[in-house]
Amino acid sequence: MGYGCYIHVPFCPGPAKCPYCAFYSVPYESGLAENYVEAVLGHAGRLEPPKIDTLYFGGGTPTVLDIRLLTRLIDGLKNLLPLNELIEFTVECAPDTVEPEIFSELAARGVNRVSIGVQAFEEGVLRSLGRRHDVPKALRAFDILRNFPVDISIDLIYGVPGQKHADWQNTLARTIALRPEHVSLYCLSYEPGTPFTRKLAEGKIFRTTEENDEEMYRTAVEILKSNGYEHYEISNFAANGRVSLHNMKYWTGEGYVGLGPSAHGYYPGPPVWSRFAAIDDIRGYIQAIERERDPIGEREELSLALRLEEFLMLGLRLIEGFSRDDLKRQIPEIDADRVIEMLEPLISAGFLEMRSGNIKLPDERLFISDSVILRALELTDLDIKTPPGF
Amino acid sequence: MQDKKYIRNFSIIAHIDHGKSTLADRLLELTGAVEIGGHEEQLLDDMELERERGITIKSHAVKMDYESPDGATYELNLIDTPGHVDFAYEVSRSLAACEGALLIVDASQGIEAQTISNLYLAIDNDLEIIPIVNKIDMISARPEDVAVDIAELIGCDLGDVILVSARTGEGIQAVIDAVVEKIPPPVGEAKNPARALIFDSFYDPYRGVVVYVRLMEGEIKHGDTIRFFASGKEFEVNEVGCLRLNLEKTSSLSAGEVGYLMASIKNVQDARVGDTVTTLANPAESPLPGYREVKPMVFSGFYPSNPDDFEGLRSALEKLQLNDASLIYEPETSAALGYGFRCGFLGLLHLEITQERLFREYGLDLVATVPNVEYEVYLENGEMIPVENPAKMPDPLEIDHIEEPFAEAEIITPHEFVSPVMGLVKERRGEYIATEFVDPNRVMLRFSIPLSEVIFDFFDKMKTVSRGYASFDYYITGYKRADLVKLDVRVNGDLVDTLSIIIHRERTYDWGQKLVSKLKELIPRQMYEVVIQAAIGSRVISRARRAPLRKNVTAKCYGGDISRKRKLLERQKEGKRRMKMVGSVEIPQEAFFAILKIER
Repeated sequence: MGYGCYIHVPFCPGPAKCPYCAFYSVPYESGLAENYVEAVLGHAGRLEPPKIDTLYFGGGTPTVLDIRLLTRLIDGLKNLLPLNELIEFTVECAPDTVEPEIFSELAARGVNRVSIGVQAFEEGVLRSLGRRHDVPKALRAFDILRNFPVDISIDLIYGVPGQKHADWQNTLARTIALRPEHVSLYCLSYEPGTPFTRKLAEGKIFRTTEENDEEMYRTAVEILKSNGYEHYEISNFAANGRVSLHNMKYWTGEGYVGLGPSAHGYYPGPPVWSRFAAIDDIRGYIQAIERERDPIGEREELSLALRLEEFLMLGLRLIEGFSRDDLKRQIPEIDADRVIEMLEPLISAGFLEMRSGNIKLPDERLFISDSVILRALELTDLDIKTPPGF
Repeated sequence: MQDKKYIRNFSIIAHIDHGKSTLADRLLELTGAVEIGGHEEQLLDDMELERERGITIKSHAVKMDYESPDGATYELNLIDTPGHVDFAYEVSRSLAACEGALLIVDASQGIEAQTISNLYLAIDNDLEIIPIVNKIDMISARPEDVAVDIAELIGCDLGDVILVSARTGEGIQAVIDAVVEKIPPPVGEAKNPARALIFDSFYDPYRGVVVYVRLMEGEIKHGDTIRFFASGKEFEVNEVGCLRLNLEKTSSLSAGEVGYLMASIKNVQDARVGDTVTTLANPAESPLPGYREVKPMVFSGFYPSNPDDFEGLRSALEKLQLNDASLIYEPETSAALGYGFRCGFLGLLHLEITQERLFREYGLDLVATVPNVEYEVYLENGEMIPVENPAKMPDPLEIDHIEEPFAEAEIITPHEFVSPVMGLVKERRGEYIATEFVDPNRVMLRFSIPLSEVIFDFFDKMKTVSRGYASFDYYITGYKRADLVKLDVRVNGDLVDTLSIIIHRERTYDWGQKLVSKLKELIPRQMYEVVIQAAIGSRVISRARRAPLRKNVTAKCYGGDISRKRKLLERQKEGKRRMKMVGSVEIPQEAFFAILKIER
């Protein structure tokens, strides 16, 4: 397997970004976008990565980039990075930015997967979410994309204040009717610094209950599975095996490079395992490249303990879980049998299960996966001494 | 050495907020001890906490020189007294060091319960009382009415009551004149065997213990070897002096004088308030009367929020104890909270102040358990064991009966609040003794009440039912038998040992109910269902169920930002580490705090 490459495109059509979104983006400005593209290419030029087989343009809204810039970016990357064995090339987009002219150019350049931020098929919910598009626009976008040889992934949000269970069922039904290759679910979360979180604090909106969110999740899992979608990760579903290869790299400990402000990269060892995050400010990032300074804002070398933490945290997000061999392969320095033994209390209490040699979360525990993972981390903690008196 | 006939030793008796500290400031200004205006208010309250809470916690003393119009210079020693019932013994020792007392009563508020109990203490010590009505400049002031009440209370002429405004300075000269004219000079002879009464002591990290004394007889000077009667320990005096706003070194202290001594004493336990100091050169045969060892009345377990702070807590308690002879502590272990200390206090205020000081001065965040009094548990075999920790209660089958400390309490209230006040007293298991009339509008109710009922929010409750008009004081009378049981809290069957309390049987249901519903609110949802029970032995009297967690999931890891997700988990892990584990149930520290706030 090769590396993945993630390119963060930190622009949104504006004027304001979606009120629940905490990802880094700024309103689109053509001059800035031009400099951004050159900076990303400059950054790519400095890398000496091994071969890359998945490419992912995320954002922000990548398709807000002028098509001239977008093609310049892709063509430039192709010259700079070893992309000749590319198998998956995903571009995220928002329904109101989907036009045939753009996608004919993209498809011609190898884009074979499009992730579209539909979020809901109810006008009310879309308004609550502060989205710029409406239902007809989403349907139009889907129709346009269907004319190209690309897999389509639809993003949906649930747990939105005011969203009724019937709304959610309707959204799921209309999603299935379109037969996208892939569906991602996202339970609305309140991220620090977003307008939604502020409104929550001011009592202008109310958090949905745990029971509501869990019920919506279960409904989605049931409907998607019974309509032929494979539930392969907590929030992700694929038809006919069309899982997101790029995202799978995140969950299985594969390497990836990150380009663009705030983009993350991971270089697994041996000898060292490191995570990187580029400077999370577009002007700072551009300046760093222009002045030939380091565009990386944060880097972290993973200790053995952290590698095990990440292995469990990510491996248990996959529906099939992980096997003893996965653990041995990814962290040969560790006694895999001992780790699995330490997880025994969670298995016997029914919070984890052993299925055909894999350790995984039982379906009914997926929605409390963070709690189970946390407990798993505590049980296998290599660093922490037990505090006195306990 | 000052001629004794020019010495006046006096203290001030007043209810909280009746203006004691302000009046003291005016006296200091008028005698030139400090400049007018150019100082912080309330000079004698030097602990930050004292100023904030508006109460004097420790005794203080200051010497003032007053040039009388007759040409003589008088030495006026003002001994300020603690203003809270927790420190009643310190008050009595300060009074014992004086020949007179200023009785200050607020012109709007009138006589309060604490004024009366301190007045009785002063009269017991044969002090000359100088009655003063303060705050006469207030719009709501009724100086004449209050003066009449005071005159009746102490049996003096109405004309003897001095009307004062400490705020404006009006009447202060008359106060000084009365101090000089009415308070008798001290008796006692410098040549007699030395007897000095300790009315306060504190630990100075550079000089050791500074002992505040009143020389009743004899003389103490630099180089003398002194002996403390209570501890029997001997020290060589390396400094004596009088108490200005700072310590002022002199060559000796002799009969009648108030001052300090230092003798390389390392521990305040060796120089306890109320003890007598004598010299080996001219030793007294017996101590002054009235010494008693102060016993803690209220106990609580102090546990560091962070288990790593255990040693820090030990050393902080050690340091506080250097300065606080009435604080006691011993290590204890709790299954729920880990390692901590069982601490004993004079009262709830003393407890709160100690906890506050541990936080402010030592940065220690604590979980304190529900405070309780000390019980006397009589076993079937006739043995009596004192129990100051509910966790140490013997098996009910071995217990014959339990006794608890009782207090006699006095509440002064306007007539219209007698009924709600009596209702509260009854609710708190108080037994009515008598009613006395204080003034035309108010009565004093006397009753006997379990101390455990007093130390919880009784004072606040009384203020509420009387709209702030009633005042209250109490003193402990002894132990009485009561129908008490130990109430335990269990989570998923496991005992939360620090939440156990000893409580009257009739109150168990109500308390259990409140406790269990509060805990249900505070214990976060967990992977398992949590059943919370309040139980007496194996008998469950209240129960609540916390439904298991339904949702804790990070929906997506966008853009490969694994670090962020891991850090979120690590933060959750950190949060869990601050929780206290009881069996498999995680209980947040707030839950332990919240129990303290539950209304009785």
